[in-house]
Amino acid sequence: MLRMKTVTSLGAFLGALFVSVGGAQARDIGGTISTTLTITEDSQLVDDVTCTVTGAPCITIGASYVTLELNGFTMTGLADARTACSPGTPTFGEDGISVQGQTSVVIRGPGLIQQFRGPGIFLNTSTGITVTGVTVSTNCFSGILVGGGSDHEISGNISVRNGNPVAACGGI
Amino acid sequence: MFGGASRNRLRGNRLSGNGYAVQGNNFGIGLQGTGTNDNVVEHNTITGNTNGLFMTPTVQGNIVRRNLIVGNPPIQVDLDHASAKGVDIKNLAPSGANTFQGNKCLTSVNAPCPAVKRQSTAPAE
Repeated sequence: MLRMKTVTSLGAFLGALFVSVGGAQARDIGGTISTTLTITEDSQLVDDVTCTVTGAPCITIGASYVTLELNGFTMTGLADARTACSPGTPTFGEDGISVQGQTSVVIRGPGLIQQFRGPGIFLNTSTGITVTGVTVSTNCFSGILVGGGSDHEISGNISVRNGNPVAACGGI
Repeated sequence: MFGGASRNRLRGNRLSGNGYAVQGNNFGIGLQGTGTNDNVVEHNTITGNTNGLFMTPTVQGNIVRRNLIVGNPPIQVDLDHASAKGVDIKNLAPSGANTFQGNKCLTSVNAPCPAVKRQSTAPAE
């Protein structure tokens, strides 16, 4: 009986730990993400993330004043700039992490964001976003892409081997 | 950065191996499009990219200072894709529209690369 109770508790714990569905708040993130995960409160990776989302971001930060800690884990998308982003083509919008129209969000490494068909991180029309200590690699648009917005602090990041053969893009 | 991104600070980042040579205007750091103004790019290390820093014709008021921007593109890329003409700093904006201070680079378009060798400290006669 005690053993059954332990197994049940462990299952509940793991269920809370690993997020694989979108549209909800999240504190601890790991495992497979198959639909866009929108976070609206401080969150962290607690394991590597494999993203199978197509045509949309893997993680969207959907509120201001939110911090996402990568905690040394890796987020991996569906393509690879080393192979001209095959299978498929570079797909703008299929980002690793997307911040749209928010203020004072923090994305903090260490952590690796790699092999997305879009940018690794996309800051779009936002204000005062901090991205620090993150490694972005082999994404099919820029490693970190800033579209409009202002007053961002992008410091201490490593951006390597991002790009595609069509659009003007690159590291940051 | 594009689309009017302004007053941002890019500091202490390391950018290497970014960009496809066939595209021509891929980069380590890019400031692109109207309104991408008044940003500060400082203390970054930018090596081995298709271009190191790429600035399009309409950007202005940006400050680029004390960056190490060398080896863009790598020699093998330069040899295999000579028509791409990548450089350490490719500034397509008019002279004076942006500020360059104390960067270390070897090749550039419309930007100074003054500080890669030891400067004489002897006073001028």
